Amino acid sequence: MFEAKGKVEIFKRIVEVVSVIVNEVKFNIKDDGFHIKAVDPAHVAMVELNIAPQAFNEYNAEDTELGVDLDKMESIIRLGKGNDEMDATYDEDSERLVIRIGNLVRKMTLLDVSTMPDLKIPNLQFPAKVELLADDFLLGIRAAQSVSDYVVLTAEKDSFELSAGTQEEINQKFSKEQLLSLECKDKSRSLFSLDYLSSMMKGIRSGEKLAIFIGNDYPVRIEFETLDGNASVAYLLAPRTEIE
Amino acid sequence: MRDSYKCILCRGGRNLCGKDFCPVIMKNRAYAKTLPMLSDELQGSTPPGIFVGRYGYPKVYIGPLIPPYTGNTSQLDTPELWYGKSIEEIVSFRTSLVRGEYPARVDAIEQKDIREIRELALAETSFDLHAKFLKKPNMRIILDDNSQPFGPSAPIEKLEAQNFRANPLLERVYYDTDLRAVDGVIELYERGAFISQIEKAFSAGLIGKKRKLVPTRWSITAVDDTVSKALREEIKGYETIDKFLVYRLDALDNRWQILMLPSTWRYELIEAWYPKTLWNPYSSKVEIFGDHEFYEGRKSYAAIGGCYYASRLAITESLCNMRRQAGAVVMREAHPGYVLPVGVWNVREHVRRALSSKPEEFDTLEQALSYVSQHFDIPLKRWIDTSAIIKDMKAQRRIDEFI
Repeated sequence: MFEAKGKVEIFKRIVEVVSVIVNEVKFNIKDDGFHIKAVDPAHVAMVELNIAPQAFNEYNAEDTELGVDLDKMESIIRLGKGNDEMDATYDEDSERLVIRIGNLVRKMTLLDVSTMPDLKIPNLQFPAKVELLADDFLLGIRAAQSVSDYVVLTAEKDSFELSAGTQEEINQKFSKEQLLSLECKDKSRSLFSLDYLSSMMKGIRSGEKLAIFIGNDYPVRIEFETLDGNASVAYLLAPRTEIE
Repeated sequence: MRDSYKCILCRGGRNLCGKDFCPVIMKNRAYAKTLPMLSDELQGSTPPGIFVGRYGYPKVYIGPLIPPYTGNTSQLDTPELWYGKSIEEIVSFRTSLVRGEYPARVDAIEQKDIREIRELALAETSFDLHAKFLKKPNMRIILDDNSQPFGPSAPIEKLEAQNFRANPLLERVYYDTDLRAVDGVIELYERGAFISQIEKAFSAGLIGKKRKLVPTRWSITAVDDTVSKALREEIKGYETIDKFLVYRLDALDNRWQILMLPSTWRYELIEAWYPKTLWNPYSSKVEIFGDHEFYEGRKSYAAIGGCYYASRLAITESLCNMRRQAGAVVMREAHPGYVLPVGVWNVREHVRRALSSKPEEFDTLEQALSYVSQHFDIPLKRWIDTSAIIKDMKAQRRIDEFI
């Protein structure tokens, strides 16, 4: 059983955050909220999203798994305005998700969840954690894209640095004071694809606070809260090896 | 020795250029068959075929292709039927087709004479044409890497066509003036028209809302690009393959190998030209060059040319048939027997043919690449150093490695 009522904006945000990684996902629905874990088809990037029932005006759910095509969901949500009320209900008889916005009703067929196994989340230990504003990080990523396909993230005891390019170079260095926080045991340096990082940035909004966890030749984990603190998101991206 | 002297000293007898056989002799031999049959009047069956030139654009020449004989000539202008033919046979098909030339502004499509020539491209089968030329056809042959070779040409004075039956599919698109060109091209493709048929109709300005003549060379790439873009978006909705696949084909002294990767859509064409092959006549080194796109596709025209789009069409078509998504690297090793350009159909049809064979399957990229290297003369390292996609695949790690 599942029914949720809330602003269109909430559903829009769910689609926005997840669809930068993958378009077909399994919603794990429980009485304590929504949980989504998904990996992109190439197994390079992952997203975890947890939404508390408080994000919605009304929320009633027992354990349910729904296989959702986000493109389809987006095509209906797009028709509503952010402040419109939206209602999503799982109709067990027809096995469809029924979405209502005003007097508009969309009955959506679902994907077979038996073909969507639960993902294993790697258990990672990160030597460094950096907190900063999304806007600052986004600026660096944009600049890096103008000179390279890859970016190096480096954390040291008292600084965090983003650099890219060989001939044409970009460098953005934050001192500890320019960051919201910095914890770094050992110097940590990893290389990432800008293709992936920049699409993840499309799931992050201006003003959100990011916690970035890095290591040496190790994945990066980017965490943030959204929907007024009622949802937590984590992106995970596997590194690239250094180019010879 | 200066290159310009070589042909004069050799005259086809001493193999000074290092090619397997002499391209000058080959062209002339093909002409020797056609030329004696030509005068300022010509009666023959058009395959049907038409040609739109690109020089002088937007003032170009348009005209029908007519061989100096009648019968079923459709093979002469249908590259889809040329697999297994030798370069010599293909060149002789092409040199037997005389191009009529009629001056036309590309937008003057409704002018009576021009409309009549355009409508020839609607024909279902070959049919008889009678052409009167202002002078006897000349010896010029058009060779380039995009279009198939085109033979002798002459300015048209008068053209008489026997009644012909239109292809119903082409006819419907022709009369639908509300159908956008892109949608018309895709509809024809989905309903089973040959690429060469669509390309002729597109070139003749028979498709779309705002119609005009499109030079043959451009229209080939426009059709390959349009169709493969639509197919590319379709395959992005499919599951990725779960193994590495390698397909192989040897034809016209070209070695083709296609590597499919278990990844989201990405595509690359790499061509290696031996010294003394067509596009590498002067260097003594192998020239190797490629172009690629990642998931989002390209924003600029591929520097490697129309072959990039022709091969992308074959790749996306095959993935659609498999209902699978993958990355693909098409590798071509051109050896010295490939002396004359025969057009991008060579790329499209041979990649198609390679993909219709059963692939070898591998669990790792390393195994797949080692299989590829067995069949190429150029060392694997040069292919990898040239390939943006393979380098990326080797460098990008997966989340699973950290579990």
